[in-house]
Amino acid sequence: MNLEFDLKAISINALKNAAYSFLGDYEFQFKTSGTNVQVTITPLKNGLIQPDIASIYRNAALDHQIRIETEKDYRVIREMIVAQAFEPCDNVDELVQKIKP
Amino acid sequence: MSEFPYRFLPFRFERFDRSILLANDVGEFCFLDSTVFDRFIHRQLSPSEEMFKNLKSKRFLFDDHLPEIIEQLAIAYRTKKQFLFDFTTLHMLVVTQRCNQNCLYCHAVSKSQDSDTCETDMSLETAHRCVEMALMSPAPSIKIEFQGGEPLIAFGVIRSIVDTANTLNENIGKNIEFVICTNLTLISAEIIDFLLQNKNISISTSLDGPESIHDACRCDRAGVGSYRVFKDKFRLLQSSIGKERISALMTVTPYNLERLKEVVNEYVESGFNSIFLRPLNKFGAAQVNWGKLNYNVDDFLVHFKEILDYIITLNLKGHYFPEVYTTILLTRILTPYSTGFVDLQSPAGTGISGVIYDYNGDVYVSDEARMLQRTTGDRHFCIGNVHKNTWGDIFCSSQLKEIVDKSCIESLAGCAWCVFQPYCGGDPVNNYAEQGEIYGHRYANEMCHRHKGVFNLLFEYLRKNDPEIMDVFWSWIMNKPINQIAISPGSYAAV
Repeated sequence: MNLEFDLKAISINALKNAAYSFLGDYEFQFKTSGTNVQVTITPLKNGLIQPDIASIYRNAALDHQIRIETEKDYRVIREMIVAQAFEPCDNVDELVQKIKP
Repeated sequence: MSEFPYRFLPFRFERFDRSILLANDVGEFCFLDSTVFDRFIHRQLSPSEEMFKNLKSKRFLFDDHLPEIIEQLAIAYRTKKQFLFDFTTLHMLVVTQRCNQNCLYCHAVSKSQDSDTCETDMSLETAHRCVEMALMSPAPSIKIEFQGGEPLIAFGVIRSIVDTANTLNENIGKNIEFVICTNLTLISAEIIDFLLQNKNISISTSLDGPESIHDACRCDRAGVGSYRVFKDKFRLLQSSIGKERISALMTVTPYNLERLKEVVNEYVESGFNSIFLRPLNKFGAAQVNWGKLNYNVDDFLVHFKEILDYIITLNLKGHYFPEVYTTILLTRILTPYSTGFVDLQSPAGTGISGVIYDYNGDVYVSDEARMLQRTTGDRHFCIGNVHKNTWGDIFCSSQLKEIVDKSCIESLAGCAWCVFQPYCGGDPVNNYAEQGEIYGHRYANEMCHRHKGVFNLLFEYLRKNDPEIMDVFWSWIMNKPINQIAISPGSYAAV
């Protein structure tokens, strides 16, 4: 099964992350051409492919795109929280000023 | 629609039936309708909306005061990871490999009682060295757990270890607890006297259900079921040291999977105050007998839900009787605290929270690591020997650091974006045994499948938010009968 995606709408990382949970049953191949990517899904066992795999995979990829987009907003904050938890610093205010957009 | 100027704080999400479950790194969670979720991620929630205030108070978004929020979340995160500050608290000692039983699922690959003791029992010299090693742990409180085989076969070694630890500890001042993991069949007057003299020793035993279930897997070397002896010794022990010092684990097998209600009734009738529904580990004899013992994870989850509903009903009738695994997970989900369950934490508890000293002084990062060695000869998780290595050699080794490093689920594929990650943990030994490498593959991992199933079940209860069930859950978390924690006193009977 081949699925087409537009890289302007969804990133290759979202497509790969979404593939992860299916790897026990399917092999995924990604072919990029310009801003398009073709995802080829091949069943590993007995050649059977789940009928709704395309919609399940597309929805999973969209959710991963949301994760990637929202993480851009909070990634540095998460790193600061973990750093502050284990090695507290006394200049959090200054560091926060640096990460403001 | 215009965007509002709020920003996101770290969170994970998963579609949960018709709604979205959000959880942040410190375990706070909420359910959103999918349309509200869409508005949330597109920054379309107005600050005047209740949902905005809810998400802000639960620290999924912020519009101001970021330094203070980072401080608060850092404190909450540190609290959740408190187990890291104590370092190794659980020290398991295999005082003998010999056992008078021959259980169908024996993880430890025990040897017969008449085996050569030089090849099976811990020497007093090794025992002394293990105690010294355990007391070097920086943890202010430690637990020394006696494992086997059947540890009471080597009761003399246990006595020596307890005496040595108590004596050495006079100058160290740690809180020490001891646990003997025993099938109870060798309990004697001498052992009871010893337990009466040493109040900091508790007993952990095994009971798989009523006689027909228990004896299906737990027989002596001649193939005779152990239930009747177990019950006699249990009553003797209970009447002498009290039921508070005795707990039991049950192992879920195909023999009791569909009869868990009978198992729970057996526990209640025997006077146990809780039950731990423990799935079978595929190690040792369990691996050899896997054809007889295997069951499907989905079947486990179906029966787990049924029995949890039954246990909740018992509690609502006034019997305080928690399911221990559920209680651990609920404590992680509903409170800010860390729990001491070494089998499910990130980084994994291997070596840094719990460690096991084999009869010959070899040190393994977990009981499963020792079982792996017994089953396959693979010493991948052996991190030293008490006679050859110092505490620093063993616990600061690059080998242990690598194991711990690879067990941080925050950075593992599949776990990194899992909504249940704040409550879950890694199991590098199981990954290695099942899948051939420490990282493991979540998409084909039975443990992951099972944990996700249990988390889904618990979050379904939490989403429904039934006041009575929530009272039961809080009674388990607070370790008090339901009639002592309910908002309306007298709502529940006391039994």
